[in-house]
Amino acid sequence: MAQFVKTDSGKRLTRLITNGYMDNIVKAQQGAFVVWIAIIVPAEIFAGFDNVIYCVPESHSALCAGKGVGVSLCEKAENLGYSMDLCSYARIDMGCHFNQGADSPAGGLPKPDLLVSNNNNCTLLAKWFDVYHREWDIPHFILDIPFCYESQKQRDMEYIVSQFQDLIQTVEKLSGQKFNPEKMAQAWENSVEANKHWRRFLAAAKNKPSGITAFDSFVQMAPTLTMRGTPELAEHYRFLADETEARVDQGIVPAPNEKYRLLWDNIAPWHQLRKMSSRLGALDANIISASYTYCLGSREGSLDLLDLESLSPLEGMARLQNFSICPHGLQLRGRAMKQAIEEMDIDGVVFASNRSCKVYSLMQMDQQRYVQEELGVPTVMIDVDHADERKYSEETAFVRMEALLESIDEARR
Amino acid sequence: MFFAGVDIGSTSTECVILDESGEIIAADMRPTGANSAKAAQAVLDSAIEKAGLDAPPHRIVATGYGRVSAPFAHKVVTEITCHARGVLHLFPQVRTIVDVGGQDSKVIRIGPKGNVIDFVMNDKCSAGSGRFLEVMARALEVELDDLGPLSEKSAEEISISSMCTVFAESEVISLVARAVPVEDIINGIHKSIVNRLASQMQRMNPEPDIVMTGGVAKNSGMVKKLSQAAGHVVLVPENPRMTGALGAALTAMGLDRE
Repeated sequence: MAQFVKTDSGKRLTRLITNGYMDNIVKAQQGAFVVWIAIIVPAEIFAGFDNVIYCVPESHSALCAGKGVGVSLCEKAENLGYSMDLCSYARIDMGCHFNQGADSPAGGLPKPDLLVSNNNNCTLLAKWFDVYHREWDIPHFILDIPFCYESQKQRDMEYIVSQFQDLIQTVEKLSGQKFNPEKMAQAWENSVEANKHWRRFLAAAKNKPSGITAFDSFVQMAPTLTMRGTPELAEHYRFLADETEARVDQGIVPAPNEKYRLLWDNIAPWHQLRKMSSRLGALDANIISASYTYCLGSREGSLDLLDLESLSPLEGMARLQNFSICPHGLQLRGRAMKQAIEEMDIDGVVFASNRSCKVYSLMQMDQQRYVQEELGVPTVMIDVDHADERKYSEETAFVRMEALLESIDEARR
Repeated sequence: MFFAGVDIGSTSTECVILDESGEIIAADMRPTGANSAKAAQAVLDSAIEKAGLDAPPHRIVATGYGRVSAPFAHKVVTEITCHARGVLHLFPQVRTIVDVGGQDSKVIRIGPKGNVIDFVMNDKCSAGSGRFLEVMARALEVELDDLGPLSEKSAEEISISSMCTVFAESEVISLVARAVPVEDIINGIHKSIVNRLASQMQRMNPEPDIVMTGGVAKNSGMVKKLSQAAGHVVLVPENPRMTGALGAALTAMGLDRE
């Protein structure tokens, strides 16, 4: 049976996140220039300005879903006429911010002065931010990031860097503030440092039994999105990795009788974290890792960290624009999954077909066939939605996952 | 020593009791209704009575959607594993199972020892399940058991295009209004479900023998159409609703060896 104890890093995380949201509200009230960004936008750029803050609607929507207000906020957006088929992050965000921050556990995000999105990680995000662009008459800067079927090409990196330079000029012009590249470089160093500790934390999954659950890593991802570039982020991940390694050394693990080591493919089911991990824990199953959490800073088609230290800050940030799974083609995804399965000795893969994220889910059937037929690892496909609980059925998901565990048992006989 | 399997499904709950040699000594079923725990207890009690036992079976395994609501169970196992075990016991040569229950449909590939090699279940919605047929039978004012024989009298092929149960019901009502013969409508409904099942089946690279289980396997029209789609005769157990409970009872027999 799994043990769920709030760790010191868990308590620390709650404080960090709460303070982060509160700080943004206070700074915005005091006149800071507010940018809303897609998760992939390099937030370190904003650290190059004296008084520019950034907010991450996707992360805020995940927080809302995790705190149980996802459905009520989705319904608020649907009441305004937005289709139920749109991404639940977008619906939560619009339901919240077209209702003055209604239901948000963080009190909503301060209204933006600039919107910055990109077009390779999410098929819907540019349109979602365009809604605010039209409704609130706020400029919208879209980064054009090429898709990625192999490692990033030099000319793509240069193309992206040139757009970052445009973005810097745009913020200078709109905010009236002067950009300081030294401050951005310092923020970049903090991010690179944070990423190293994050990897150390994720590596605890290689232990047998695993030192973490993927659910821990889903939750601990939040500050990567909302506090990128800060020394506090690097410090938090150092603390998290040290604490996790110490717990593993002492034999304190989430599923001591671990019988099944599973890999999760897709965004976290934010509304089910505790429920799903507890119910799996009772079956001595642990989802120890996820393609979602490993994607931060990985070389395309692998779990290995990119070499970012040899690059200038802007080049490094450009290199990271292909970091997530979504812009990757089938072969890159397959290669990274193979490595995850081998390095973490995975017994089975749970493919979560996510109604709100077509770009993540689209290739899963091919990916599933590859894992099952080529790698000989049992898999299962379940239907989820990352933030809209109405599109998830616990029993139908669990009958599939339990059948996966039974087929792992049979294969062992 | 006796062993019981209880399959608590979305529509009905079944119980099978086996003796030490694996012979079925009693079987019973009843609608699951609103209280699955109560239905599970009741069907177990009546099967015990039918079997003439004066104590509960030595080991009990629960399966089906309500498997967690059976406090008397020594173990819970999914219906996927139980169907595989139950069917293999009845038809040792079977390699592919098509199970259509009240709220879902699944295709299971099994190995020679009854191990589940792979399975696929309906996703996104439950159209094409037993409930779909119940709704259509009600719309046509026909008994569920009559759907099969009636469909075999159909003279003309028509199509029901909607996959959604509610929309398909509207489509059926409009066909009734246009005086399309009921036999043809039923045949069209069967065709639409079988088409969906056939694509599920193709994804599994089905190998013969193919067996159909679940309540819908009692519908001869469906079985005939599925045989045509599969290109093989689809076999049906004598009591296709009981295979899950039988598999659970067989699993119970093996529990002490685990």
